[in-house]
Amino acid sequence: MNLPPLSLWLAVDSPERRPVRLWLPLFLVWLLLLPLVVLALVGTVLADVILAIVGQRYHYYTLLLLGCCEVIGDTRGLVVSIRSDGSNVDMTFL
Amino acid sequence: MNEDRVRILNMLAAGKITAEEAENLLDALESRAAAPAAPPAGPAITGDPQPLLDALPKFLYVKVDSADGDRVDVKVPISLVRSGLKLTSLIPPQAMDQINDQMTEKGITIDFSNLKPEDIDELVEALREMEITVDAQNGDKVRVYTA
Repeated sequence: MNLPPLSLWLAVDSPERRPVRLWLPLFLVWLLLLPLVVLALVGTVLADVILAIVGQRYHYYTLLLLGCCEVIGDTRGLVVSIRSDGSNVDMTFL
Repeated sequence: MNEDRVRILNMLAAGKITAEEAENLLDALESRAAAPAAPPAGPAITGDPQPLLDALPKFLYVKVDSADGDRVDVKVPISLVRSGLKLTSLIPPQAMDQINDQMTEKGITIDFSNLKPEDIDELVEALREMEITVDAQNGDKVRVYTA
């Protein structure tokens, strides 16, 4: 699993408005979310164990949660750039 | 009788190829079988695999240029494509049914429930050689490639 993006660089240029340059420290968001993810992980492990004991075919909520974390981690390096009618939006996950 | 020979004979029986074509194919098959066997293969990669790994594409690029002058560039890490596809195989069946229904309503008839983890690796591997270029009549251009 890769390290999630630590920051998000957002630039919005529009002819009508002032240009916006934002550097969002995503690592703070991950730090805030970490306790919630750990709690959710405990919940999914319990749910999966119960579902497996009951005999449900699907008992992969823990893997699903870890998969979501993996997707978030792999967003690092994603770049989106939109240019339309003089307006520009640039977004980079660093 | 090996599998290739049976296949050729079946194609002949089904009328997909002529007797002459079947003969040529069988001759080619025999000449291939008569050829000396290749020396046993050694390890697939020797030495440092890092240069080979570096040569693999890291990003999927999507570039859209519309005739109006609008432009969209997206650079997606290949690892994100891989993990996203892997995630689809973990989605609960009920949710997957709903996703498939919604996509069918939008005209997209891909059944993601048939996507297996081993297919995902093959799919991502195949992306290396993929390049899609669309030039629409109205001047819109779409290009999807890896690099």
